[in-house]
Amino acid sequence: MKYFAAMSVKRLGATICLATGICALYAVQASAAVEQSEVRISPAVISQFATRAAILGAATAGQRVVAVGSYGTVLLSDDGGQSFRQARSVPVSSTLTSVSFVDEKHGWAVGHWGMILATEDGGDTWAVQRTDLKEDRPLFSVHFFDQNEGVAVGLWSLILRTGDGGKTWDRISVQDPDTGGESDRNLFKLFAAPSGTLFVSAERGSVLRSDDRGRTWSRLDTPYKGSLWSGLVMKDGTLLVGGLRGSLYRSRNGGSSWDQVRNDAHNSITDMVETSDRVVAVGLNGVRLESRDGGMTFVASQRDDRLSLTAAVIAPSGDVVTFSKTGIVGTGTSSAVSSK
Amino acid sequence: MINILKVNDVDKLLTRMLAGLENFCFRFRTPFLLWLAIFTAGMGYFALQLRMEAGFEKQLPIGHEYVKTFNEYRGDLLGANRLNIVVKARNESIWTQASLTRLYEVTQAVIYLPSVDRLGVQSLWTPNSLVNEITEEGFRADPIIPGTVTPDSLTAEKIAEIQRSTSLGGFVGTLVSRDQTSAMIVAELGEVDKDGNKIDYVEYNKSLNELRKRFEDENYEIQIIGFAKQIGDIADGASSVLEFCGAALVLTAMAVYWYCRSIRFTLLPIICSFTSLVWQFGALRLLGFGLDPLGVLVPFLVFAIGVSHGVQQINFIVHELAHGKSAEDAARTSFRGLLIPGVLALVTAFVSFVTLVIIPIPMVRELAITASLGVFFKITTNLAMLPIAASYFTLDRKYAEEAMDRRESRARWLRPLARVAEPGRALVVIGIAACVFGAAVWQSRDRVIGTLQPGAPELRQEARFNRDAVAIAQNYDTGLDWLTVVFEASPESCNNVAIGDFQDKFVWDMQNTPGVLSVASYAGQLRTYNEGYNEGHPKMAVVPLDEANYASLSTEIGRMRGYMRKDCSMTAVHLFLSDHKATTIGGVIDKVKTFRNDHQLEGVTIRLAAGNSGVLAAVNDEVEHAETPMMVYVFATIIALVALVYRDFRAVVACCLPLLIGTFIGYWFMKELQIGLTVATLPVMVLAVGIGVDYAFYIYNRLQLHLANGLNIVRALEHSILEVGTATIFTAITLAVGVATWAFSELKFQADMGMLLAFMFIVNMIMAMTVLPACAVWLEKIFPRRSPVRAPGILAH
Repeated sequence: MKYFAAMSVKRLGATICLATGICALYAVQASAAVEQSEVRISPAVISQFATRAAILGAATAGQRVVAVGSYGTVLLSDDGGQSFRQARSVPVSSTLTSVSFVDEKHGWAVGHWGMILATEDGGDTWAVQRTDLKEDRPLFSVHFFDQNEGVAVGLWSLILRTGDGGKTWDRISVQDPDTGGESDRNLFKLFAAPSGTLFVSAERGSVLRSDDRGRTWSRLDTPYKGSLWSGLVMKDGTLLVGGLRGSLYRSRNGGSSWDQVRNDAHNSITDMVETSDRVVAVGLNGVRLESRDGGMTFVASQRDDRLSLTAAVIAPSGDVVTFSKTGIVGTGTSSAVSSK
Repeated sequence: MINILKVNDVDKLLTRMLAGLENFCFRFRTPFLLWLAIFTAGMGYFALQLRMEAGFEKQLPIGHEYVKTFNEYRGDLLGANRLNIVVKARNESIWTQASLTRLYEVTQAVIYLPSVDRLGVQSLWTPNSLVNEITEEGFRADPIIPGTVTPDSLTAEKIAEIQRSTSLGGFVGTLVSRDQTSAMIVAELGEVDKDGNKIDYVEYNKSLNELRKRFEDENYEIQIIGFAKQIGDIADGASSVLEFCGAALVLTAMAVYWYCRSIRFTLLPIICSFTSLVWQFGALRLLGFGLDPLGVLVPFLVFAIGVSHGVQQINFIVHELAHGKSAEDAARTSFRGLLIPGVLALVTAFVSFVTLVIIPIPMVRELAITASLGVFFKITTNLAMLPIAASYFTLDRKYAEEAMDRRESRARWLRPLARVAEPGRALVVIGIAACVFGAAVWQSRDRVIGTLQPGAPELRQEARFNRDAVAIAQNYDTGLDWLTVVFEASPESCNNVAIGDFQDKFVWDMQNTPGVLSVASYAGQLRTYNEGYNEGHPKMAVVPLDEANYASLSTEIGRMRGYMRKDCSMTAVHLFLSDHKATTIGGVIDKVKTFRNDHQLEGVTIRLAAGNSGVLAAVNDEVEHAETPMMVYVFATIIALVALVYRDFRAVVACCLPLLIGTFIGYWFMKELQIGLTVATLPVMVLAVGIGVDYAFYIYNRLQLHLANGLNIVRALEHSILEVGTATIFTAITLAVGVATWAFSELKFQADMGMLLAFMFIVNMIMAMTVLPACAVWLEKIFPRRSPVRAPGILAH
């Protein structure tokens, strides 16, 4: 599986163009200085159908579950994921991909258009801290350690760090040990150990690690060559990362060596969480993996409706709340799930 | 010099004209009838060549905003003239060798159907059903079923692979049903082939039925929907119109015989009406028209009108015979006496039909021409040919006396009714009428425009076509009803990221609209492709911000049919709707308009609306807008004619008020029975007024005569009711029973028309027999006449 980042899509465009002979058009597009209307940042629409928007990231803020997704949708639940309502005021309607809270009030959400939003009231109202329309470099994940220190990551090794609660953001560059140049691997998911060590699951089977709250990073390589979309530090310190087509890898030594965890899932794993007694991973086409032995073995199941699951979070009650491309899925194992 | 403002002059002129016409016609009665016979034979020759003919194009309203959009982009969008053919396994899933083989065979058969755009046919088996995949080598688009796979070589592994590709490519819900028991074949039809020949939809339906017959058995069901199938089925149903008309004819004949007890007098009005029908069909053929399945009832409506006038003539002639006149004298008197009310009535009906031209839909205009021609011919056949032919009859006195006795005994039970002319009773009648009118106006508010029922509105719920349509709508995301919204931008806009973003917001807004099942759009494709190029990561399912990336994805999407013009000057949003109820389409269109008002992007125009629902919305719009002017014109004609002939505003009010009340009761009836205002029912409502006025004219005509002879209003009304009451009630009931048989038709619109028309015949008759006399009495009381009543001279004998 070779991966095409958005940058290589440009190359791809040219390739397709050669292959199909529609080059003239491509050339015109590339050179023509047609008057452009600009994309506009507009507030999220308040809609009774907000719960049907694709949800891409979720977190807890005290007793509250906060989920973010497409069209600037932010959903809030105060009953452990049973019912959701839309946040009162979100100043953007671009796609949000991830959310992180440090307490019941303070949280940050990131997404496309280089967007970083902050809330001080548990997710009801949000303010824009950063946006970048010059460059199409989406942010995929955010993690805050406390009210001041936080990290956000995204396309082509984009790492942003703040020490002042998001007022200013610094770009952290990472070298690619293979080429010596600046790394351009996509960074998909931030996950932290209770100790404060921060990890990022990334493209081409790599995992980044930072022991100084995101200032400097080192690269750990897994035997896997594909993209790793999700990751988790378990209570016993074991690392678990998930990627394309059901790929799962496990490390018991902080990432120095990895073992593949074989399982029956063949769909890409989008998120994973650990409850008091098990590890749950969710993925595309309705796949769900559960382990009751600390991630050594997993049992796979698949939803009958093949709904792509995109995020999971542990509600204060201990239930796993899952989300999908068409919004809220709910808690527990619904009747629509059958064993594979 | 004739001064049309002087009553006497007009009377004299009319009198002279009538007398001249009568003498001319009766003096040369033999050559006249011979000439008519020859003419009828000639027209009959052409009439026999008339064929049923349907067309998609002629159902499109000309010049409507939506239709303009539809026509401008029809080459770039999904055509509204599509066929969806579903192969459904009755007992198993579609993922077996047998099922996929059957699908292959049907796909091949569809590709070789005439008029099908061969390269555009899509099913699991066609090479244009591509699955985009990211592989080690890069992006790849493969057919769902590789070209090397044949039905014989299908193995369990290969089928599993096909199933996987189908799901990966997002074809579940489009090419394969959600429950995986059936698969769809989509084909586009071109109405005109490369040689310029138009599809004969009636014939075409036969080849579709053959296709179904060939592939449907105990294991597989073949469901077919689409315009060609729909109009074909309607045409099939319409051919049974002949049976209903035959039944109506026999019923009418029996009733007329019961009424006049003479075979000759029974056959006469029927033959006369039939003659004009022959002329009408011949004329249609000569004008180059065919008989449209949707307009097939109109000639028979005209036929019914003819019978109605015929009965009035017979009534008059028998009345005169009983008074001892010879057949010729009786016929002459009838000719003279009924020419004016007859012409008035037929001209009103003629104008009613002509007003249909207001609706700018070619099919409706064709119908207007058909109908108005028919009514025009009636003036000759019923008002001249009938009495002239009757003058040849030799009838003995005994027949006339018996007829008179029957008349007396029948009129006996009319006596209580005739007492509505007494002022006290009249007041009660007016009071009741006012209440009913008020209730009808109140109840008929928010009437339904368009159709309420799902599926093809012309066909019944339980018709095969509608069962197929419902089954397909339940199992596929893309039903029959879709509305396409077009985003127009300047040429070469494929790097204008703002358009995609703007459309994406629109799509999100529309997705959350009641009645919208699913949305397929250029912006949605951008999301899907962007996600696909990024390993299917859900977080990359966005409209890209990067211009070059955006442009190359647009190039990709441009290779698929139906989403855009290659240079992005037009990108489309297809909204698939739950049904085509006027309220559903209306709600969705309102939402689009609201978005259009609230959000603007410089250089981008949001245009409504292509897709079959767009066309339907345009038709509904035109019908809605045409209704009031049509009614106004019809009433204006009646008022003008009545005013011209009777020169009395009392006549105008007495004739029009009952009609107005009747019309609103008709609206109430439509609302209660969930009959929407459509191109089928609007002509019925307008025509009902045209026919309803007949009764008023015949009664008022007698009333004028008696008033002119010096009777007081109460007595004059009683006489009038007794004289024409039986004939009027009889005609109304006969016609109502005749058209009521249509309620059993397999065509829904025909059943609707039948019920509505039967109801309107009865309502207008009741109005003419009660409200008209009551109004006349009180108008006379409130506005007493200063000068004696003058009827156009001839009526005074």
